[in-house]
Amino acid sequence: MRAGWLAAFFPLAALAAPWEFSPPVDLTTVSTKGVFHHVESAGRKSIAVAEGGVAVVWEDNHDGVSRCYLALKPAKASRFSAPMRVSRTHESFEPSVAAMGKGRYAVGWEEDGAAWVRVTDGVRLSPSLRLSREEAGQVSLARGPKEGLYAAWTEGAGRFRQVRAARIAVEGDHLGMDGSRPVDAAIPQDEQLYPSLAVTAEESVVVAWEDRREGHTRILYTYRNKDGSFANPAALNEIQRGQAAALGLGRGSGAMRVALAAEGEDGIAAAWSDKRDFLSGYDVYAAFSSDGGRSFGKNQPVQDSFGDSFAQWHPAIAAGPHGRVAVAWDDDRDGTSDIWLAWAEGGGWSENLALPGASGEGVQSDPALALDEDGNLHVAWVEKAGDGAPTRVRYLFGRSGKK
Amino acid sequence: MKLWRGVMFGVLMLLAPWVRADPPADYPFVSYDQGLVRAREEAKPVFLYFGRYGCAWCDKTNRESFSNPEIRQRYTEHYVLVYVDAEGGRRLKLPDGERITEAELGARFKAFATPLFVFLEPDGKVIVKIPGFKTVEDFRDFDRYVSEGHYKSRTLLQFLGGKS
Repeated sequence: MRAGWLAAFFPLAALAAPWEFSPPVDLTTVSTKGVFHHVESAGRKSIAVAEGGVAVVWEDNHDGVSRCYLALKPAKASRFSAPMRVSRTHESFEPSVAAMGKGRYAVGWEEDGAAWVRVTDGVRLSPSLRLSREEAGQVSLARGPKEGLYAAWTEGAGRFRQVRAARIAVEGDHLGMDGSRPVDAAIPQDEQLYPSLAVTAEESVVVAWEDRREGHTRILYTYRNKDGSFANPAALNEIQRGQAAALGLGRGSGAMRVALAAEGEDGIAAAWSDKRDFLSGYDVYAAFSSDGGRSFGKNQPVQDSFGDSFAQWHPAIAAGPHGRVAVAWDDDRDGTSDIWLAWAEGGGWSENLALPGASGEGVQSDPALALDEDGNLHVAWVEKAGDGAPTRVRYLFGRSGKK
Repeated sequence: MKLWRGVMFGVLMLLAPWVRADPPADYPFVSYDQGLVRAREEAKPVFLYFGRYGCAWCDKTNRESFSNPEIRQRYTEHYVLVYVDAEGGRRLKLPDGERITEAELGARFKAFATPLFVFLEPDGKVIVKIPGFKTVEDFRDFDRYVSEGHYKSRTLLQFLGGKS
C-alpha cells in the first residue's frame, strides 16, 4: 500500500528503478493440497543467468517426495522449459545453481544426507558427483573464470558441521573433485552453517558462512590462497554491545544466511540477515570487498527507513556489470509479505521498491535474483494466496534501463 | 596445570547451556514435529519456545524464570514443551507434511524477537504469542490463562487486566 502511495505522489521515485519490469510468469503450476515449493539454498543461489539463458532451481514434493527441479529458458527462447528433475532418486533439498556457459548449468543439492553436484543443459544430465563423505548438505556453487566450478558445503566433522570447499573439474559430462578441504583449518569448536561462495573474474575464491564458535551466530569469511589453502577466517558482521552484554547475558546478537556475489574484476558483495537491532527483528546488512575478499568495508543497512521497523527475511544478492548490485528480500511492511528490492547507489542503498508483480495481495517470499551481462534483472520467488494456501514458483524479468 | 585446565573446562561445559541460551536445563523440550505429534496423542497444548543461540534475553529468562521449580512443574505437567532454534538449519516436518527448517518456522511465526513464547492448541493452532523476557509471575499467569481455558473467552490482555 505504501509503495503505491509513494508511486502516486512521487512518480519520480517509482521511475528511478534502473529496470523496466515485465509481468511475472509461472515456472510451476499452482500446487495441490500437500504439495509445497521451496526456493531455498545456501547463499540463495537458486537462479543463474549467462549468455541470454536463465535457469531456476527449487524443491517440491509434487510426486510425494521432496526433490529438486530445474526450469530452463535457453537464449532466445520465449518461455521456460517444463520442470526437469535434477536430484537423484531420494528425498533432496536446497538446490543451488551456477551458469557454466554454452547453455550448461551446474546444480548442487542435498540428498540422503550427502552433498551432490551435476551439470545439465536442460536435456541431458551428467552423472552425479558426491562431494561429501560424512553427513552433509547446504551446497553453494560458483563458476570460476576458467571454466572451473567451485563448491562449498557443510559436512560433519566430529560433533559439528564444518564448511568445506573444492574446485570441480568439468569436462563434458565428467565431473571430478580437485581436492576438498575445510575453509577453516582449525577443528570446529561449534557449528559452521550455510556457506555462500563467490569467485571473481580474477579467480579470487571467497567463502562466507554462519559460525557459532563465539557462542552466538556470526558471519565469517575467508579467501583461498594461491596454494589452495584458505586464509584465517575474519568476521564480516559488526557487533553492537548493548545493555545485555553489560549485564553478562547471552553472547551477542544473531546473524544468518549470508549471500555473496562477485562484482567486477575482483569485487565481492555480501548481504545477510542481521539482528543487531533486536526490537525490529532481522534487518538486511551488506558489505563490499574490492580486493577479492581480503577485506570488507563497513556494514551498511539495506532496508530504508520505512522498512526499518519491520523484520526482513531471506535476503539474496546479485552483481552485474558497471558496479550494479541489487539485493532482494521479503517483508510485510505493507501488510502482507512482498518482495522488496534495493540497489547500490551513491555509496549506499536506494529507497526500497516493492517489486511490481511480486507484491500486493497474497504472500510473495523467498526471492533469488541474478543480474546478467547487460544488467538485466532476473528474479524467482514463491507465491501463495495466503498462509497455508497452495504455492507456485514465479519468475520476473527486469530490463535494464541503462546500458 | 593440566588438572586446573580440566576443571575449568568442566565448569565451562556445565555453564554452556545457560550462556548459550539453549533450552533451559531439566525441562523435557523436544523438536517441533515431535512435539506436535505428542500433543495430539496426549491432547495437551504446546508451549513453544523460540530461542536463538547466544540470545541475551533467553539467557535471562532461563536463569531467572525457568529455574523456578514451580514453573518447571507447571509447564512440564501442563504442556508438551517444544524448543526451536530460530536460526537453526535443522529440518522439521509440519503436520501438513511440509518440510522446512527451524529458521523458516521462525520466519512463519514472525519470530522477530527472541525469546518468543507461543502457546498452541494440540492441533497446532496458535493460542497466544508472547515475545521477550518474562518473570516467574508472568509465566504463572500465562499458564493459568491457557491451562484453565480462559483463552477461549478472553484475550490475554483482558485476562491479565482482570486477574485477581
